[in-house]
Amino acid sequence: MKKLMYIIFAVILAACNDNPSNPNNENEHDLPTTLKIHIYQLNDSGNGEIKDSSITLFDQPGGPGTPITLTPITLKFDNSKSTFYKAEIEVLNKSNSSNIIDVTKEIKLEAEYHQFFFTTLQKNKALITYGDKESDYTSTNLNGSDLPVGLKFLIEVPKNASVSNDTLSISLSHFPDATKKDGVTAGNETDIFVNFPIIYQK
Amino acid sequence: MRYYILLIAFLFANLNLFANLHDDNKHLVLAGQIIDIETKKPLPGVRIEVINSKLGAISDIDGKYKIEFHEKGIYEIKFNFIGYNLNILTVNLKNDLFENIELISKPIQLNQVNISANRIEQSKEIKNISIINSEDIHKNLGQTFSESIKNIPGVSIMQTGPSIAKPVIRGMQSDRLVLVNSDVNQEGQQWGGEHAPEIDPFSSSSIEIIKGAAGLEYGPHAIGGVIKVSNSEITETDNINGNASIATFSNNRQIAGSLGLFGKTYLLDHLLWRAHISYRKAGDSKTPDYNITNSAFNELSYSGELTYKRTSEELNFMYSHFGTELGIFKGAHIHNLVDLQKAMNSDKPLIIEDFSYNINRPKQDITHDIFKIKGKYSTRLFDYESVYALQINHRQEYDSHTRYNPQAINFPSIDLTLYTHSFDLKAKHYPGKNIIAIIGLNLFRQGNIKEGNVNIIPNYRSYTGGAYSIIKLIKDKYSLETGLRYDYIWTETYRKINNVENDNIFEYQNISFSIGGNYEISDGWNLSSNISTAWRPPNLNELFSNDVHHGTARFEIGDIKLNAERNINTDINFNYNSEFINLQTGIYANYINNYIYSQPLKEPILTIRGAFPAFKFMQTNALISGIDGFFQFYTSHHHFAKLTYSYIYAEDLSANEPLVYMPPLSLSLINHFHIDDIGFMKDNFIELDTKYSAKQTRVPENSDYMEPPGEYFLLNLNIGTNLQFGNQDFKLNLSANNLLNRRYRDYMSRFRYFIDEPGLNIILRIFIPIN
Repeated sequence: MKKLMYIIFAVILAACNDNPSNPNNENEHDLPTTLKIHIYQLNDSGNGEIKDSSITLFDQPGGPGTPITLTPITLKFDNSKSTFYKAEIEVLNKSNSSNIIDVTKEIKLEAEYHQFFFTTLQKNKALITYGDKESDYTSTNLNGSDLPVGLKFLIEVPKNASVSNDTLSISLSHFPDATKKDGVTAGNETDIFVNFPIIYQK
Repeated sequence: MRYYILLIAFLFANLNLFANLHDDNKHLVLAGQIIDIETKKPLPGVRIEVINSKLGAISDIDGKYKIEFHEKGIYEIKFNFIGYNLNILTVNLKNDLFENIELISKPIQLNQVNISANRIEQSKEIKNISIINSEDIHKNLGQTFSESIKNIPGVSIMQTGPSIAKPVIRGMQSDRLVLVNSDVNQEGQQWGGEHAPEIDPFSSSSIEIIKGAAGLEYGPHAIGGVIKVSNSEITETDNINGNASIATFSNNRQIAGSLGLFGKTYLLDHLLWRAHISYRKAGDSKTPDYNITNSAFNELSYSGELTYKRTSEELNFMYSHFGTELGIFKGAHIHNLVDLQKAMNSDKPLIIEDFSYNINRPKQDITHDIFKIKGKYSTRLFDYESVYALQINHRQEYDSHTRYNPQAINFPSIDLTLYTHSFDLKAKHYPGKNIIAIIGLNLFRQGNIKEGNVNIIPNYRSYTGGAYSIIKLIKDKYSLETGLRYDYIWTETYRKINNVENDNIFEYQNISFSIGGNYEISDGWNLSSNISTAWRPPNLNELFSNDVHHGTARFEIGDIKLNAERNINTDINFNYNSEFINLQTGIYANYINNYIYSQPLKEPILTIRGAFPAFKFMQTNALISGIDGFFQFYTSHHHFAKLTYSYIYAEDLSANEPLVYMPPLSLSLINHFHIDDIGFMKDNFIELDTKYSAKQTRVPENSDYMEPPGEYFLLNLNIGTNLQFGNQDFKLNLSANNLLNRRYRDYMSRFRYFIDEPGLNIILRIFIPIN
């Protein structure tokens, strides 16, 4: 009986490694916290960048619970011809300042499971086309064709655009089943959803 | 303090009185305990008459009785109790005699024992207690624990898909209820609406539900009620005893089985053992129109026990393990407001896959281990009981999306381990034949460790100390009970924000008090009433939550400044029992000061992932009142009808609007037909259960994404028989839930935005007693 009591006591002590006084960091999340859009105006030939490229930051510095900060995207247009922009998306997880994770890399690795979708509030003001394909990153041909991902996209502002404001919605759909991705339809799991204000300027 | 001095003085006074009585040689004493032969539960309120004399008694709350005789002789003693067969004992009384009596309940009630059990308890109990015993547990074998108690008036369940169900007693749930699992206050992460109690429904042989504040014996938190689950007593027999059961379900192609055995060890006299194992495996559930994808689950539980048991002493060691892995319907795992609207606007879920037993993300992985040492010691006037328990609760929740972190891709997003040590000491004293005095002490130490990155509950260490005293006075026509409790709670939380330690200390102390009485108006008519006040400290999720709750797309924000809740609960219970009618009605009003609830905020929280509706924990004054009960009418010995009803009226008194998430009016009509034995088929019955749930019309404005679902009717059929081959029984039960395969949604289901409830489910159960 005494032996049994000792064993029981030992088991209880062993099972009670329950010291809670060393918690992990609360800010750390495995979520994208920062969206950067690098926008470059293209020159007339359509391939070279002109010097006044703009970079827009979309950041969420304080973790969930803090409202996000928005910087409007300014798109200049020309009355005589369409203006073209090249854009690149960068997604970061900055929840732990000492360990910034580049989520873009993961989206590239899982290119067949992800796609960005772009819509503008005003019709015919800015035309957006995809500037990349799954095969640019990682593709094992899971969905039968080489579909766009949207980490790179092109914006065309036609010559008849007027000075006005617009909203660009960017969403990132995650397709747990890659075969459900068809390149056109947004999925049911949205990992990123943001509305950028756009200002059209002469 | 004065109260305790009085109490102690009172106890000693009675002690002397009793001693004097016993020195008097002229009296002969016949005493003992009366129990139900099936359930081995004590039967209080049994009328004991000595034939051809004026002597008699009534058994007390523990089924104990005592009659004093003035001379030796042969006596015939009648034990009479409604719902039970009359038992006549003939004794030749020469010396004091100790005689235990077992009563057999009448056959028609055997199939509905919970009704007769209700009546027993209610006839003497002050609180509103309902008991579900083994017979009724058998009827629901293989279902979730909460499912097995939802037929009690005033009890409903809150579901998160087919695999998760939480009990709701009179509108109170989660942290406002206390769950006592074989003498131990079950401690898991019970604050979560989608965290089901970690209890193996197979291992319990009786479930007791105390409605209303019953916090005195069970600590603070029991502001809404107590659910007490206990296993049957191990008895010393020569053979191995126990039972085996199997259940199969058509809807989710579930198979469930259990085996429980007990016997002697042969190592040492009075050293007994018990072992139990149960397993459930289910695939996806099905609504009338589609599969609920990823609602499969696996559950494995086992336990072992060693008991050294003699008449007046008992030492018990127990270890039990509960483990479950359960899938959560994928289409409800919402990422943001856009997805939520998309999912809600769709008639059918956006994800429907073929039937499967696979459990994919999102899922929960939970284990609960209990190690318990219990000691009992009885003297003539005292019963002592002490329980030490260690509980380890480990909960892991996986989001549908793998984590955006290459180092943690296969890790859960919520990972909580809760260690609880508890020590309870209880002394029960019988100073006179009508008085029971109870003194108790509870000590409690908890440590919570959080891994994973969801901020709902932090790391913490908590200590609780509580003491209580209860006095019961039981007379022939009436009984009275009063009690007082004090608790002190100390909690320190440990957080790290931007790599800086941030610790908080919370201290709470308060008293709980209760007084009540029961009065037998006339034969069969009983009235009881109870007034109590209890309190509950805010839970840590209510203080610290600051994250998105997936599945509901809610961003929940805690408030560190919340105060403890305090309630005043009054209820009146009315019973009538005769040969043909059983009736029970409970009316209650539960006023809660500083009631904690989550209030929707006007502005959603914007994140890069989209917008999330925000909810903040706030306090108000609330009134939760209602009426529930049943009316049972025997048209003959072959048929009875039983109508069960419950209605809750809940109001936020500060905002003058209804409280959210309260069960709507519900009615159930059972028609039970008892069929005479056919050859070896005994105890045959057919039971038709019609359920009605009204639409919840009392909801606060702008607090919900969707209007409450409409009313619905359901039909359940249950056919049972007991096949007797020689001495061996096989209890067979065939039932059909949602017989008409109705399409419906329930207000208390957290997934009602997305999916219908399961359709037709045909269940076959076989229960085999072994002895």
